[in-house]
This record gives sequence, structure tokens and C-alpha cells, in this order.
Amino acid sequence: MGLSGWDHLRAAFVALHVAVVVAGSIPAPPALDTKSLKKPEFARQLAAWEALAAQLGVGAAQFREGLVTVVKPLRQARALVTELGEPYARCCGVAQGWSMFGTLNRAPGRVEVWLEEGGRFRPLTIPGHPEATWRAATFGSERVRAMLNNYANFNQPEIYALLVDWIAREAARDFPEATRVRAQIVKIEPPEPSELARTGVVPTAEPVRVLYRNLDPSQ
Amino acid sequence: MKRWQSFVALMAHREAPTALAWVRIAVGLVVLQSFFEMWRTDSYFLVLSDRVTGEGFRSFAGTHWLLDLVGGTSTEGLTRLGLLVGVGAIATVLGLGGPLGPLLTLQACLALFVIHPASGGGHDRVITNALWLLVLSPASRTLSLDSLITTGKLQDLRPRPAWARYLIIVQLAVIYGTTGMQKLGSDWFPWGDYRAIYLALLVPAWSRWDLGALLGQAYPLTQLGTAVTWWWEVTWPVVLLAFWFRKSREQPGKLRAIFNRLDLRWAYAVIGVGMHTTVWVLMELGPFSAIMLALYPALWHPDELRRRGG
Repeated sequence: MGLSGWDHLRAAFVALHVAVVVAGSIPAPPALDTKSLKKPEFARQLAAWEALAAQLGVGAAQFREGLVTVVKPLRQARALVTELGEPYARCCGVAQGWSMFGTLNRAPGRVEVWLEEGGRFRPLTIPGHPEATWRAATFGSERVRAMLNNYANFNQPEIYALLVDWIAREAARDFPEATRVRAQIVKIEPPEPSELARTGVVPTAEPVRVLYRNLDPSQ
Repeated sequence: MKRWQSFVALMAHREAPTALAWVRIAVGLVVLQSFFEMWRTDSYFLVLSDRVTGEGFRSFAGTHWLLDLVGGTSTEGLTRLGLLVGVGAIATVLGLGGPLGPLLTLQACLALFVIHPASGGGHDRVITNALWLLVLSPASRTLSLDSLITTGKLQDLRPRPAWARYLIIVQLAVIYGTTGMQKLGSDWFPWGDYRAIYLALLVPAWSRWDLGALLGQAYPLTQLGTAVTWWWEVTWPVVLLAFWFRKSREQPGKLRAIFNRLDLRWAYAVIGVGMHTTVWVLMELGPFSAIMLALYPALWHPDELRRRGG
């Protein structure tokens, strides 16, 4: 079959597309610098790999040196291709990035909302709580969950505060007699599987980032 | 030079666009379902609209040309954008207007996903990647209203360029392969006791059910799931090799013969369907499972689909 100029052009486009996709997908490894090493989870994971390397007779310093040798050019090559391909990725939606549960969060949390009525707080909305089901469809939807997960990991505290303002406005409308809402982040402490099998209970820490809002039905 | 010529010839290959049409229909349905879900749960305006001009709780800085055109993150702007997604996705499902349906859906989705990235996930990127490949493909040439209008038949099996189907397969291999590569946390390995899925199911944001004691009792199963998931993901690029061996089946080689006898696509697809179904049952990850499975029809040549009744 004779190949035309268009065929070559098409193949060149496909090759460029694949280059952008592959470069964008390659994990961007941490720089192994002081900033990265200060992160507790990163240090813990690195220690686990160093322990494994030690079992294979590779010292920690040698292991890190080898890692830097691999990581540095990889980061540079990836940065170059992704930078060149960025306009294409942005306009055509071919941005990549798939870090599904790469490192598990050992201190996940949940956002809880409590309502004060008659001087007592009762749970209003808590994930998985059988009775605290106010706006359960909304708070249980995936995009809201993603957002709440962000706040439960202590990211964007100022936006979390704005969400609590919104919750207060909505609660005031739905519960005109109520006086306050309390929003809080409760971290869970993953138990050993055997303990969970025995007790069925996932322990939680004391609430943090506790915010109160007075309810004003006129708002 | 010879390799380049072979590559050019491969990209010029033509086949009936049946597999691409099934991908088109599935992707369109996933987009529709995903946005319907946002409307049903009253989360669309809460998550995406502005606190002053909309019904949200915050303001946003992200921008996109289409978002600016429809009126930004106000209630009216987002209503228009939602309608554009709906119209585009319906046109995509029906195969009406050629690449315009996927193109409209893609640009509207890009405009929406740029607003509040923290409320999204990897699935948003799979959706936009898939839509772009549909824009480039002849997916609306069969099993479509376009086909009905132009040929009088729902199916038009005349050969069309096949390279978009190849790119979908590459995209699948890239997504799974690099997802596996990123799983470097010790919990995915024996020295972390294969604890990753157990821990993932304890994250309140993602677990669909409070499994309680059952999760502890099922720990060995979660360990098995962890090991299978990691190996399955990280070895997915092998499927590309399987495709190459199928394409070059006339050439000699023991490995080629073994690959062609086993047809690894089925093994990977069956595990994939099982894994995504399990994830969907146990975890709330939005349209992640559905959009990944929507790409699976591309794994089969149109002739194979026809033989199996597709």
C-alpha cells in the first residue's frame, strides 16, 4: 500500500499525542530534597524502602544516591515533555495524572455537623451515621465527598470555614428553632484488622477544627 | 526508517468503526449519568457555583473560554453550561453531528472541571481524554443517527481509520500501568502486609458502607485484592505487547505463539470488570469505574465484536 503525506502527518500526530500522554502519566517522583524528607509519610515510606534495600545488602546512603541518579533525569525529561505538550493537553483535555491510593492515608478524617436545639447538640450529618442524615444525598455525593476529604486533611481551612457558613444558612432555613451548628473534623485511627473483626468499631480521635455558627433564620 | 514506515502503515489501517461506536455510546452515557447524579444530589450548584452570583459557598479563580462565554460560575452560567453538557452528551450517545457532540461535551466538561478541581478526581481526566479521542475518531459513522440519515441504515460497516481505537488501548495501558507505578506505599507490598485496600475502605470519604467487623473478618480477602490489583495494574502494558503479537502473528517466535494462544486481553478484561465492579459496590468514587469500563469495547476488533453479536 502506498503511503501518502497525510498518512505520515497522521502518524506524526499520533506519536506526539502518545508522547504527551506517556510523559504526563509517568509519576513525578519527589525531588528527594530536604523539603520532601521533612514530610513524615514520605520519610516513613523511604525508610521502608531503605530497610528492604538493606536486606539486599545496599546501604541507605548508596540507595539514596542510586535513587537520585534515576529520579533527577526522569524529573527533568518529564518536565520538558509535559511543558511542551501543556497547551495541547490543556485545550484538548489530554492531561494525565493517576495516583489512585498510591500512598494510603493513615489518618483519614470526616467532617461532622451537629445542631443545637433546646440547649443540646445532636448529630445532624455524619457519614455512615444511621440518624445523622440531613442532606445525606448532597453530603454523600462523590464531588462533595472529595471536597470534604480535602478539608478533613486540614487543607484549605479558610474554604472549610466558608462551607460551615453555608451549612449554617441552610440549617437555619430547615430548622428555624435551632440556635447553633457545630462543624468539626474527626480523625479516625485505623485499628488492626483483628481488633476490628473483634469489636466492629473504628476508633476516632477527639474532634479538631471545631467551628460554631449562630443560626439566623432571617438570613 | 522501516519501523517508521510500519508505524505509518499501522496508523493508516482501516476497519469498521463498531468498537469505537460502542465506546462513544458508553462514554456519552457515563457523562450523562455523572451530571444527572450531580443534579439529583443537589451538589451541582453547591460545588461549582459562586457564593455571590450563584448558590455555592465560595468563589473561584479558575477560568476557561467557554465558562467566560456562558456567564461564569453564576447560577445562570452554570445552567447554560450544564445544558451544553447535556446536549453534547445526548448527541454523542445518538451519534448525531459527527465529532461535534463529543467536542461540545469535551469543552463544556473542561470548563466545568476547571472550576473546582478539589471536587474532582482522575475520572474527570479519563472522561476528557476519551472525549478527545472520540472527536478524532469516526465513532459516529455507525450505530448512529448520522448513519441512519446518510445511508438509511443504523449500521455502516465501511472501513474507517482505526488509529483512534489503538489510542484508546494505549490510554488504558497508560492509566493502569502508571497507576500501578505510583503505588509505592509499603501497604501495597508484602512488607506492608498488603494492607492498602483494607486502609482504603476505612477512608470515610470513599467507603460506601460502614462495614464494621465484616471488614476486619474479610482482611485476607482485602490482602488478596491488594496483591492482585497491584500486579494487574503494573503489568497492564503487557496487553500492548499482546496486541502487537496478534498483529504480527505471521512472524515466528515462541513468546508470540504463547501470547496468541492465551489471548491475555480476556484475562486482563475479566479482572478489570471484577475489580471495577467491586470498587463500585464498596466505594463511592463517582464515575471512575464506569468511565474505565466504557473504554473496554476498544479492546476488541470490530470483526470479533460482530462474531460475538455486537
